Amino acid sequence: MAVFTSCDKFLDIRPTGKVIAETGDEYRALLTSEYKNFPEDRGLASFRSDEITFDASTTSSEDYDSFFDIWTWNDQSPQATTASLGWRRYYHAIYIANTIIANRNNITEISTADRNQLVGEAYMMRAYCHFLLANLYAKPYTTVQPDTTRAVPLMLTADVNLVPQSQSLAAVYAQVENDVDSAALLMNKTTWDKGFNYRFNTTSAYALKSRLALYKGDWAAALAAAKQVIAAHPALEDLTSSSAVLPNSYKSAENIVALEQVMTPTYARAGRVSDELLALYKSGDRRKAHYFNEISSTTTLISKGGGGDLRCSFRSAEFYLIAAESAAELGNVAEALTYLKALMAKRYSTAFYNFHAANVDTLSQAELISYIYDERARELAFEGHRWFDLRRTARPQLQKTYDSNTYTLQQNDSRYTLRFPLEAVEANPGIEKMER
Amino acid sequence: MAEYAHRFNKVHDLEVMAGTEVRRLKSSSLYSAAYGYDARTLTTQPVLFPTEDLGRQYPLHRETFQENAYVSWFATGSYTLMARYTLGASVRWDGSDVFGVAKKYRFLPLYSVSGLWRVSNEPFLRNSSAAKWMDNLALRLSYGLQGNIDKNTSPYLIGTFNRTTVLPGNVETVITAETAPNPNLRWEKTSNVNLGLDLSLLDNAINVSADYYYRKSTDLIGTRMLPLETGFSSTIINWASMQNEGLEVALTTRNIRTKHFTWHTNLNLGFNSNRVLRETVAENSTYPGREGYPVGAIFAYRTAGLDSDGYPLFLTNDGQKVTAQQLLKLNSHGASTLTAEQQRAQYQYMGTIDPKVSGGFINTFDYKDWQLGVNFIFNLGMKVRVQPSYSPANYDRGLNTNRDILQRWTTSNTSGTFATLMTSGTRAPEYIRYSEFNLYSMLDTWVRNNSYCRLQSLRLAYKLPKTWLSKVGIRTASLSAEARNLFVVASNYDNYLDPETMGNPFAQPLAKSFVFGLNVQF
Repeated sequence: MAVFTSCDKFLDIRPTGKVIAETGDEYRALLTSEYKNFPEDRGLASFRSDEITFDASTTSSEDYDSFFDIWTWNDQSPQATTASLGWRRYYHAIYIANTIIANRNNITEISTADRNQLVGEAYMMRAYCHFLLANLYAKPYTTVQPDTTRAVPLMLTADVNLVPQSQSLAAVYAQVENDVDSAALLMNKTTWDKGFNYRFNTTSAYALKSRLALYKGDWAAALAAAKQVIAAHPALEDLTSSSAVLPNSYKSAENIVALEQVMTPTYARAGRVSDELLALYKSGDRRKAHYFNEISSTTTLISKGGGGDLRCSFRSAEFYLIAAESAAELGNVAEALTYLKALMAKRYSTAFYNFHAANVDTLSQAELISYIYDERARELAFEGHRWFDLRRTARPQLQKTYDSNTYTLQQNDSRYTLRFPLEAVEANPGIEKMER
Repeated sequence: MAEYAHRFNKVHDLEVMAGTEVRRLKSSSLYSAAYGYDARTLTTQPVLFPTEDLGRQYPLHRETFQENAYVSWFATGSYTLMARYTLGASVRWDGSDVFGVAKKYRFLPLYSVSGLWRVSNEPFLRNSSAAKWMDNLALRLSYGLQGNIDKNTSPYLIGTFNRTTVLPGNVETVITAETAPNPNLRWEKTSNVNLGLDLSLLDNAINVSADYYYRKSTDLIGTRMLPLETGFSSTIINWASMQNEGLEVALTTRNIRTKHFTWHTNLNLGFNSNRVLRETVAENSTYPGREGYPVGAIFAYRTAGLDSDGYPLFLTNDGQKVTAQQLLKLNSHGASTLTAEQQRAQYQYMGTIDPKVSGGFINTFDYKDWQLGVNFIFNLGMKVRVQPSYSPANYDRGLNTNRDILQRWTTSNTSGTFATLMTSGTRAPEYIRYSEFNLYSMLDTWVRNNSYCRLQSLRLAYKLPKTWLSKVGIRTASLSAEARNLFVVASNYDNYLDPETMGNPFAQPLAKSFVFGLNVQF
């Protein structure tokens, strides 16, 4: 047996470039890979909203092939070339997050603070992936009985032998909240240096919690969490200043997490700004010039996307808007106005601000809520919010026209919820069922 | 290596051999690109890329390094009693560097035991009249067990280092781990039974050697599709199994022996049949799995001529003649609305690419100093899938096509046997199916019988008389002329140059070659 032991040493060769993660740096590199490959589905889902339009005269056939059937909600028989939304990619990120969580005490060469931060980020990664999946592939929380509605599978252990079924919407949301709470306890990094600020930080836990409560219609929780975000990260990019950068840039003062690019160069090139969206902007709105590029009276291109620096998953303005909406819903109009006007002050030059601010002061509660919806559309255009906002609010009828053909998404249409990707159902038909 | 052989008390023979082998290989490569190189000053010009991304696309320096180590241990031993009964055993472990695999899997084991009974040495035969015509009769039996491990999977999550940029200008190390770990990894096992018979008769005029083997492999490594929720689309698991059995017979006869002339014939035949007992088929695969069929199974759609437009007709399992549209229930985009499983069921088994019988037939004639050798090889009873002569939907007039195109169905040649040239305007779903999907090449039209017998070698040699040679100090010398691959007799291989390269229209036939030799020994 002695010879075998010496042979073991002889045979111990680590292939160049291959690794089984052990150290803190190696586990960090595993997670970085998931940050890098994070799906841009919030951008792709924007094609289904009313932000983006296509125009037969300027849309390239390549873009048509990739996005037309998403834009027209053709889920029954899309062209084979249609861009597909993510599924496995999210679960791969969840798998890596689960690996980190399971091995939290085996990670070597890492300080306690860094270990907690890394494991906290893994919880955030798992929470954010489950949250996005549930909002892409399950019915809107506010429209159904969450505890009897099929959502998506929850994967909480790194085990390739599992054959999961879907969980209820309530169960998925509860697990996401749980994971965010675990993350909030562990994470200790309040800000990352620019260049690393795609990583989750302490503020992002409140941010996700606030967005989740908003999607649930839990106004008190949404307001409380939004206040925590604003307290920790109040900065807003001042678009009236000549040195302003786009608020969704990773360098912007507003940026909390610069993870998703949302509008990739392909998406940004393919889409045109819809007339409905352009019509929402009021006189003197500085955002119009920053966000869009009007190349003719009929065609407006998207400037707020495509650039490598334009990455944003969470930024301050969203939480001013959530605070405003939640306060308004709770009947606290004065508080709602404070948050709304704080944002408006950075979007209009003084004269226009005074004019529009005086107008919002006169709004009733219902009018104010509707104004805030429009303000969200204006502020968060092309940042992957519109589709989810339509889902959680009125799910209105949408109409799109291309080459004299009209396509309609009825009010409350079942296509407000995506079908599971075909390859996911083929690989595991069980996901259509709900675990009880 | 150490060997030991000894005979005890005149009846016990013992032979033992053991050895080890150790190897370590290192290989490295280096790539370096420089622009504007000046040989006088040995300087180069710096490269300024417009963007970081472009710079990454054209790396100026690349290195690789690989190191592997191998260790083997082996031992064999045999014991023979009274030159009649032999018992043998052997063991071998081959070890290699495998990363991320439990240590016990580093060494591949191979064990075998064997027995031999030399019946012709038994006194009851030796002392009987049979000894006059029987020179040798032996029975052999062996059993072996072999283990193998897939080196590309690991129970651990193995990652690959990389460098990437998440936010502009900030290069970071990442580890990508896209291969699912496999905690249930185990040995691939092959067990092997061999029965043999050796017989020599009539002063070695007839020699027969026959071997029957049965090999069963279980827990073979295969790909299994995973639920995507695991984070991976497939993993490698020990799942598949197959069996292999066959008979090998070699018959050597000395047909004629006179003072100046002898004629030897050597015939060897191999019969092999194998069967896949278990394998995984991807849920979404539209091509059938081989479970219950040979490893080399070919499946195809059965056709039944052409319809009134010159489109292929298919024969369904219940004997009806239908178009591709009806067979596959195509939608308007040429996609089948059948499930993958239903599509698999439309295929029918056509045969296997492996021969049922293969072997060689060698005749050697010696007359005085002349020797003539005639050497045939043959492979019988296989199938081959050939490339379609032309694509009915994507026919390119600029390319050469064989004459089948002239036999195609047209309105003026309604007796044509090959599919018409289709256009996108008519029967669009079928057009798309033939143009974009792999349908036309899957017709049984393109599965052909393949059997052949080749004259591999015809060789004439002449030994120069020794009386001449001894004068110039040469011990032996011979002249020879050999023709290789002179001709082949085969089943129909139209459109191809050789039955052995059938399937690939661009492959050259095996070259005929003529070899003249002079062999001199001092």
